[in-house]
Amino acid sequence: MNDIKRWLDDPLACNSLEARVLSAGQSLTPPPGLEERSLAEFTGLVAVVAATATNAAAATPGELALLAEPGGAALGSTATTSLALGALKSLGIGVALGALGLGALQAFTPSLVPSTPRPTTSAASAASATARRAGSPSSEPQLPTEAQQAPAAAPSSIPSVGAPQNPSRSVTAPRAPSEAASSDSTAAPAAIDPPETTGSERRATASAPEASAPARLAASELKAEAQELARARNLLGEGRAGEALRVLEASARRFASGALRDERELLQVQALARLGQTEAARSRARLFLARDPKSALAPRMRRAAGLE
Amino acid sequence: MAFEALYREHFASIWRGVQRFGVAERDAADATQEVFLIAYRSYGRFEGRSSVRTWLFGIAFRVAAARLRSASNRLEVLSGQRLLEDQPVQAALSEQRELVQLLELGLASLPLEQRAVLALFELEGFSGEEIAAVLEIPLGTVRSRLRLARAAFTRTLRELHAASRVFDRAPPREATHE
Repeated sequence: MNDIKRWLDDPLACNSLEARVLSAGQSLTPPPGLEERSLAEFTGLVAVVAATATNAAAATPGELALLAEPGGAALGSTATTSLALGALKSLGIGVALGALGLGALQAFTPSLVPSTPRPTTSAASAASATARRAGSPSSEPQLPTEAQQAPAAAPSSIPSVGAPQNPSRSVTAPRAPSEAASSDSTAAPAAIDPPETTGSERRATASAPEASAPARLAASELKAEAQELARARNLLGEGRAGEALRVLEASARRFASGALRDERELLQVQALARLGQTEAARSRARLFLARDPKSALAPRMRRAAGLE
Repeated sequence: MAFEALYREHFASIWRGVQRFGVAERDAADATQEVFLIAYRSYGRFEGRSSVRTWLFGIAFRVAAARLRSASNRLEVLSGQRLLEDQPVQAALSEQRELVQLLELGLASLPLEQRAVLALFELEGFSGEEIAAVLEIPLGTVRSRLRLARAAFTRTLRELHAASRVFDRAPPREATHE
């Protein structure tokens, strides 16, 4: 498309109304402070998602042992605890995840600082293997992170995610996108819908919500959804599974197509299992697994429902 | 790269981008969070085959498209003509704000597929190949959509002519379409 000049670059069109309108549009910037507020909220959101994925509150003794393996070696780090609590506070979540949950946050970190590029086709399995090594089998793809290696020195309140899988590829050196899109299902931007992607992520694709689906998240509803999830998770951690289930069911009605639906469904299954409603838990888990068998949360879902 | 650095580097453009794709300004921050949440979950599988920016805009497009499909948002997506009828450009607006409003009206008059191509090409400076990657469509489709989008965009601006004082200050010139 090199033969097509942008209106703003075209001398013949530079004073056109089109160019003036476009030029004005380029000046659009976020309101002052929005980026900082959003970053603080995002940090808290990531903490909640990560804590749910690793599920410290509902972890079995065996799972606790897993979390204490090398990937969770930083559990209890005072600096990290303060960091994550600050993040949650910024989100407005008045819950104490505890050192274990915060360690889980680190274990969740999908950092990518591989020493060598990985073959595309093995990316998912490699990530899964790494996740197992990190002691967090249900979490997203992850590799050892800077935060895990030196948590107290981590300057960022968002877990570091390192570089893309092939660090030799500059983020400013894109490849032919049509090739990427057609030849490799794990490549960006198709990577938002890879096999191990959660259902929530898939719902962000073109095949997501139908016209009759409930309204998507409105302003700040993502935050509210995360808050409810944290509340339910906290109740579950306190052994109040019935209350947790009620919170989750109300949340499911309110955020039927919310971005955190998968995390909520996992907590629902765990709550049912805690209440002794084994068949109900298994039924829900099977539905989840049928819909999204390669979800990053699938292993924990199976474990929670006793399907392993 | 720490994710925070990535977040900071791309926040403004994604916030702007989701609006270009049709998300209402009041929902833009939440949509932006959703984009980065998906990116955070998926970053482990990002291999750098395209730029991070292209990848993020691909996610942003899908997030915006999903939101626009929802019932409530669909009601908010009015055509440029409808917006013109309901909210005529106010003379009291500053010229800059007036131009931005014209841009919003012009983009709103386009189908999402055309709007996205026009916004990515004209406003965000993406190449045709990058747009093809963002939208996962062939390059030829990018070209055809851009052609259609430009024609429709220009037509809408002309239709707004009588309602906007911007045109009174500077007679519009025809822009080249290619």
